[in-house]
Amino acid sequence: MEQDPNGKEKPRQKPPEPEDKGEQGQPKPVALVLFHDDFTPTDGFYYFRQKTMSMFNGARLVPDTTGLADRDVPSRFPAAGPEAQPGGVGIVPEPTDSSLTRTVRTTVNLIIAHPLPIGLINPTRMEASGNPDPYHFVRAYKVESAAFIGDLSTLMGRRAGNPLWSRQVWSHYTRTPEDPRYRRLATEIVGRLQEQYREDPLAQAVMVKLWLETEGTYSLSQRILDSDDAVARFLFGDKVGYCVHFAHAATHLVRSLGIPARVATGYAADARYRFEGSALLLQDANSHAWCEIYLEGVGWVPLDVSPQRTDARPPPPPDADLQRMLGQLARKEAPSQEGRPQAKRDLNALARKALAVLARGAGILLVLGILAAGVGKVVRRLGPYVGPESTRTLRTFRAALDCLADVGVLRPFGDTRERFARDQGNRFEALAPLTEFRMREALGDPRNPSPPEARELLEHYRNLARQIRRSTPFWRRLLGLLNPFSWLFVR
Amino acid sequence: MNTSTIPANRGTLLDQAYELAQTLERRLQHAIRGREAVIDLLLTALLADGHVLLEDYPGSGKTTLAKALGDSIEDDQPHDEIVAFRRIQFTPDLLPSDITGVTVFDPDTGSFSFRPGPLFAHIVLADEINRTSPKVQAAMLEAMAEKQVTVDNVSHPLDELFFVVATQNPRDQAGTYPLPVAQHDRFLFKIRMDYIEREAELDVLRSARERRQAPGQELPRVSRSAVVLARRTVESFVHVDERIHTCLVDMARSIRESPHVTQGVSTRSLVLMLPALQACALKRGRDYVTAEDVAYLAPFVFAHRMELAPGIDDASEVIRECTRPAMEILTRSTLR
Repeated sequence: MEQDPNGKEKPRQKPPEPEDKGEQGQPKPVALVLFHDDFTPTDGFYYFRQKTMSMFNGARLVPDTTGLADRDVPSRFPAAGPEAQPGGVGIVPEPTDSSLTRTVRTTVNLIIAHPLPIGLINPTRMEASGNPDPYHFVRAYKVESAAFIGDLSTLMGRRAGNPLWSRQVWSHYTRTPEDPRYRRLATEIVGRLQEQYREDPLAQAVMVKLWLETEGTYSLSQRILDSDDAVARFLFGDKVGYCVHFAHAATHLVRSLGIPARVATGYAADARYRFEGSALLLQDANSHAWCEIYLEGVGWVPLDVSPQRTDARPPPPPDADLQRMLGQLARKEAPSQEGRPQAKRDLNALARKALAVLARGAGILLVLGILAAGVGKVVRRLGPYVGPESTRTLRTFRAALDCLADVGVLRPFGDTRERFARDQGNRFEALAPLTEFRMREALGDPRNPSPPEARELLEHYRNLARQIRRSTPFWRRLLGLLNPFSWLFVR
Repeated sequence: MNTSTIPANRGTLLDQAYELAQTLERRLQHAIRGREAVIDLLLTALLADGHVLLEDYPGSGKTTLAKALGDSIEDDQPHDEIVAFRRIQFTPDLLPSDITGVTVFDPDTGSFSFRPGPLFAHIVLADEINRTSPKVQAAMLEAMAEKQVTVDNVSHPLDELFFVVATQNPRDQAGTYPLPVAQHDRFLFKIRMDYIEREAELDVLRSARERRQAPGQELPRVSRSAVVLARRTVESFVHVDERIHTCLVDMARSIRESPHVTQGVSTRSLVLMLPALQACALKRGRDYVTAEDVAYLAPFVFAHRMELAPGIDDASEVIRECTRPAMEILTRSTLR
């Protein structure tokens, strides 16, 4: 399908025709395009290019392998991050005259996998986008295109090709089969032009197109480009073929007139089938091949041949309901229909959201808890130095116990304070006087207070800190210092 | 909050009481070796105005201990009929009058006069109290509770200091009248005297001759009135915080509710415990009671007042288990 695909051709004023699946079976959706800008092309057709064939290898047109040409065609799907830049997908946009084009932003949601991205011509930038609904879409990406606005007639008088191209690129885009009949036929066709238009590239190309449309017959029964001379047999034979034949024939003919041209494949869709909405459903029946010519300041312009005689019917319009539903999904709107998978997804999404909220809440609580504990620890540790005189003993004693808790020394349940101080007496002698001070304050006669001096308290406290430093390894002290919860275990 | 004023000499009185306890302790420790814990409890009971029941084996030093205590207290009222120390050996045939005293007819004056018994002493050693009849035990216990004896309907007050050290032999129970729990309640402490440490026993042998020749006479003694004053000082000036009261009540309730206990401790035991706690605090140089005192004294005060469920025999462990939550609450309250 890629190389000489079941291209769809668009006879006459371009209603695309059903292709290989033809009459049997419904067309299958392949992609949903969301338009972020309201844009309707003047010729009534959206062209979504996927790949191009511009290199004449002596026998037929094939995709470029030199890397010099077709650099405006993306070579891979856009990735997130820095690769989202134009160079990231291999797009080097052609310089265009801004008065002739406008930027059109679209999001392409692929329904079936494609080897290369499709994009509204001419894409200038592609950027990865989150898949709005993995159940329906395999991939989504945003495309910015420099779309041609206005009428073809306004391009009259423009030169073909880009003057900045090297000779190599020029010859790449204008190389034709050696068969002299192409040149002869093209000259003959162009000869019918009025004198003043005879040298105009666009006029020449349009003349070729009109000639093919008049002389050729569109038929899906001839859908094979099986040999190297298939195009010659078509063009110089019965002229019965499908879009790929016409695209190739047109390309060879205009190239023989010195106009750069190539064959593009992808999808062409009737603009009316957007139904004034912003979603456009592309179906396999929309797949198509067309000729493109290069005009200075405009870039690649489709030169689509739509034969007047055809034995095929145009492809049916997409199912409007399906198109709308997929459009809603692509916009992440909640569609009302289809209970089962949607309800399940809703439930899953709800559960995920609830879990996320819970996890976030738990995380916030945890962080707040750690912060609060850390603040509590610092406040208690400042106790011996800051605070009212009346509670200095308590604060100092508490800070002393906190210091011990830091290094894992805690009073066993049921033990008295004096016993704890006694048991730790060998390592932490300063605990005993601090304990005594506090016990006297807490349980002594309130009518006869005898608070210790601040200096004395601090001295014992500092002694204790020294004794802890002396008897505890550094890593244990560091661990205790970093633990914001250690003081909560003090009892 | 108690807003009553504090006497100016409070500190002096407390210092004197503390010094008195130290003096007594030094003398007793000189007289009897390896019994520091017993001496501590004995002096605590003396200062708390309680009595002590020693459960020991013959030859464990109880007479020496009681006698040394009697010797340490100088009788500063030598003209009354009350002596410093008496020992009563209880036997089954003893009569109440043998210990309380008896009214005799004096032919010279032609009137009856009261001749005080051995209870009229500062320190009384009631040896093997469980060997005498319940009648004598009752008289003894009345004297302990009321500090008076009644003979021929006349009440005779005992000395204010009156301090009984009773003993009983945990073995050799044949032909004895074991004290019921209700009578145990009259004793502040029941102290079990186990055999002393090896080093202490060696020390006893080494110092035996020296102690016989000079039984601590060079060490200062204290006067009877000083001991009485010290008791009042302890009761008045050693502070018992409300949290200690709460802890005691919670402990008692917890013991009563324990499935290992068939009869819990009485309210009286809690009341008696307060001066004991105060004395204990004083002996440790404090003028306030702490959880440490409660934890230390609880087994000595409660154990002999409880009846344990069948199959349970370690009262101290039951008490420790039951009192731990209340002790924890008390201890934690000091961090607020």
